[in-house]
Amino acid sequence: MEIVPFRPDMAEGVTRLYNELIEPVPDCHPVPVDRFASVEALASTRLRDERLVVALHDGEVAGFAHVGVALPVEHYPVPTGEPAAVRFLGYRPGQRAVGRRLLEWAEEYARQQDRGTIEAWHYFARYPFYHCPWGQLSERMAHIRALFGMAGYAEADDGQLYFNWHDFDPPKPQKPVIELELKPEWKEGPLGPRMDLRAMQGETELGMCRMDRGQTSPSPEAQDWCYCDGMWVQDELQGKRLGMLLLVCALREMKKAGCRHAAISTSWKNYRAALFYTNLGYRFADQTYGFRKELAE
Amino acid sequence: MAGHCNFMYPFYHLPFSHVSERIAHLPPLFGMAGYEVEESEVFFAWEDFEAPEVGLPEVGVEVVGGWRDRVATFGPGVVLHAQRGENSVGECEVVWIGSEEWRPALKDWCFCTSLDLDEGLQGKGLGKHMLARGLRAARDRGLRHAMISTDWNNHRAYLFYTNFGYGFLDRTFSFRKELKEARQAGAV
Repeated sequence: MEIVPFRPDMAEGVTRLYNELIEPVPDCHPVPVDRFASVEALASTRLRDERLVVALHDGEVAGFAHVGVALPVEHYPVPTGEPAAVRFLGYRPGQRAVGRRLLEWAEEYARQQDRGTIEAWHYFARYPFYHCPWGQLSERMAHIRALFGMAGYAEADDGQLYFNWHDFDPPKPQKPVIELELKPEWKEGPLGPRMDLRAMQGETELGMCRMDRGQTSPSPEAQDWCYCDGMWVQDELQGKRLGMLLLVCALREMKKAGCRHAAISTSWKNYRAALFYTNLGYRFADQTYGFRKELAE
Repeated sequence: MAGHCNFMYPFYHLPFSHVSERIAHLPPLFGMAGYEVEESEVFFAWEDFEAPEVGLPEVGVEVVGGWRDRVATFGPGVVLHAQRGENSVGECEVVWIGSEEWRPALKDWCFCTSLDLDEGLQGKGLGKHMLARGLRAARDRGLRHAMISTDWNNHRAYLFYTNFGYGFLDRTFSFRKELKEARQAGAV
């Protein structure tokens, strides 16, 4: 087995492996080969010095790893200290030696870049077509999780719960206890059309719920989905069911626009949000994990 | 303590199972009420399993045993022991989990309820040999699908099972909370 820099003629083997690995992951769609046309095509604006390497076994793609170094980016929750980042690392179940070699290679890269910390599967560095916008390593790719666990990585404490709701049917909204006006605004978002629903009291924004139409894939079935990319309510208005009103009305707006299925995610530690979503109608679909390791000198 | 496998209904889920993550409105309920996750057991499944031939490594043991009518508190299954002289230095139990009346959907399934080796024997291929042999013996009795579980933080077992052929099935949690003032027995 050898580890070599990615070349365009390996795109087919890498794509096949990627699609195999994400096959058990809910709502994660296979990609066409042109997604892996070149490292430049995959490059992230949040990383520098990216490298994509492939493990070849008898000339066949047996695994691959994609790494970079985090750049400080405004308006985004970034990992502290500009660590080295593993964007993706994949190998086939049964070939743990391949996975181990790739992970050793990634850590060597981090040392060469003079990084003391390595982050893996942080949503900061995820492939834009992988999972949901806050997705990390899916629990369904269990042999990859095991590799990081054995190598001494700690789970990041912001592991994401991912919920979905097939043929969603939001309840009728209840009359709000305070005077407000709901204003939807449509624009072009990262996945497709994006709708921001604002709760306004005159010129004051009391809260907002953001819905993206589509999933991280151009495939037709992905367009039947809407994903709630975030919502907030003013601190002093918490507990007045304004969040419920916003989410229910945003879902109804997306349904009116033709969406059939809904998805949402939150940190495992955000019990309030998880309790809210699961009691509204969303169902558990996946849990994802990020990893971090401090590298010894 | 809540949702711990020791106190679960016998017909709920699988042996060693706490609250499944799929019952997703329960963990945040406990979380909101100040409970901490205490234990986490993970389940793996392997449909239409094909247990490979794994030779017995040269570690000075012999592996004996076979099908039994009853394995511990479970139904019938395979019990294997790694013997060194008179001493058992390892065991593997693969039970017919679908033999219990409340699991009709699992009638073709076996579950490895125990795979234990003395510490000095780990990492030498003996576990692989025993599990493969246990699964093949279960297959000889007509069982086609296999399950196994381990603690979420047992990375060695996690790596072993996921690379052996099992895939992720479910993660389960038990919860614990220290109550401030436990009432004295008999107090009103």
